[in-house]
Amino acid sequence: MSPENPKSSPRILIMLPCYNEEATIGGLLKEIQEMNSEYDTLVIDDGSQDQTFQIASALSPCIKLAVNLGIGGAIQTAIKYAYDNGYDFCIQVDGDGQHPPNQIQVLLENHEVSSASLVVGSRFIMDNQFQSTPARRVGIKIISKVIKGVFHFKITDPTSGFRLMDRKAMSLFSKRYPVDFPEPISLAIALEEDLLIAETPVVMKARETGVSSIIGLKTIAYMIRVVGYLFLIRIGRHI
Amino acid sequence: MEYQPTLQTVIFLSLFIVIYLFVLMRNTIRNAIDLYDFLLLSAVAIIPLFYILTPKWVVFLAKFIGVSFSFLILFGSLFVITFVYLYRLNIKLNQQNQKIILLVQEVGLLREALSREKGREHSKQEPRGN
Repeated sequence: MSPENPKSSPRILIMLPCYNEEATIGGLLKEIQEMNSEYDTLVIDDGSQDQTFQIASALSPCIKLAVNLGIGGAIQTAIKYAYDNGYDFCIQVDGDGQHPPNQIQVLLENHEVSSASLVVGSRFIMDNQFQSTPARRVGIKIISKVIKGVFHFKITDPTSGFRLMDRKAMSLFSKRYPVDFPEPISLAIALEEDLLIAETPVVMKARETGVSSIIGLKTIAYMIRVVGYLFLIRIGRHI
Repeated sequence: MEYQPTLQTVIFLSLFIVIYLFVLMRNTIRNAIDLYDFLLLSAVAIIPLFYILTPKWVVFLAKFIGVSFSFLILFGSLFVITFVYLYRLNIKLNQQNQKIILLVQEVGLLREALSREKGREHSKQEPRGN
């Protein structure tokens, strides 16, 4: 279904942003490749200081960023790669093992039904699974409510990084993608550009290694920045 | 509210203005400072100069604006200039940040494309039929 060859099966790129993920990235890549050999993978090493690049580049194409840009900068690099190389879909899977590869198919199946340009995997539609810490859940609820209030769009997991993008979304995000805390802000950008967004239940795991970058005072900075940008993007249409 | 600057004030301020403007000008010629920034920064010297050279005008201006203490206008205008300068600086910093991100991304993408190309050429050169 690539633009050049409409009858062929869709070209899918799995984007794996990584920062010091030497412990998990090798296993994750092997798991994806064993599961479906038709998926292409791309690791974006966001300036790791450990052996992430060496391990990943032996198993998959890998982009090494000279300095750490943050998750937004890393993902945008992969989106540009996917768009320039004619992929029909790109799917973000975190390199820390939070997103089980067997759930990729769930996103694709949802796209088949909804034709949404952006399909977000949600932890909060189904119960009885890992759903993050209580404090984080409160933050996610607040962001959901702000999105509902400002954009009149219901989303249960606006901070989920497990998402599928089609070429329309790739075209938008390759030009405009937030650097910090990109997931909820990019949702607002997509809503403002009238992209069709869908959400589908997925199973996620607790991260296998490392700790979240949003801890302590950064949580407050995160909330101020995200909520502030959500309002600004909405107002942006009128100024 | 007539005031007359003393000779010492004129001497010290003139000295400051000459040295300050000389440093600014030299750095602007060496491209260390942008011309707009040079104009903004030189206002820090030109506005006080205006105050000591034209005291009657300053008093008129204070009366016209309705300020009883004429130096409020001096400090007010210096504050405005400082904020305009900071605003410009902020925009420039943000633009630089965007350019750095873009460059880092492009370098990464190019490096990957090059290594892919190298791999392709390498596989072409390998003898076939084993």
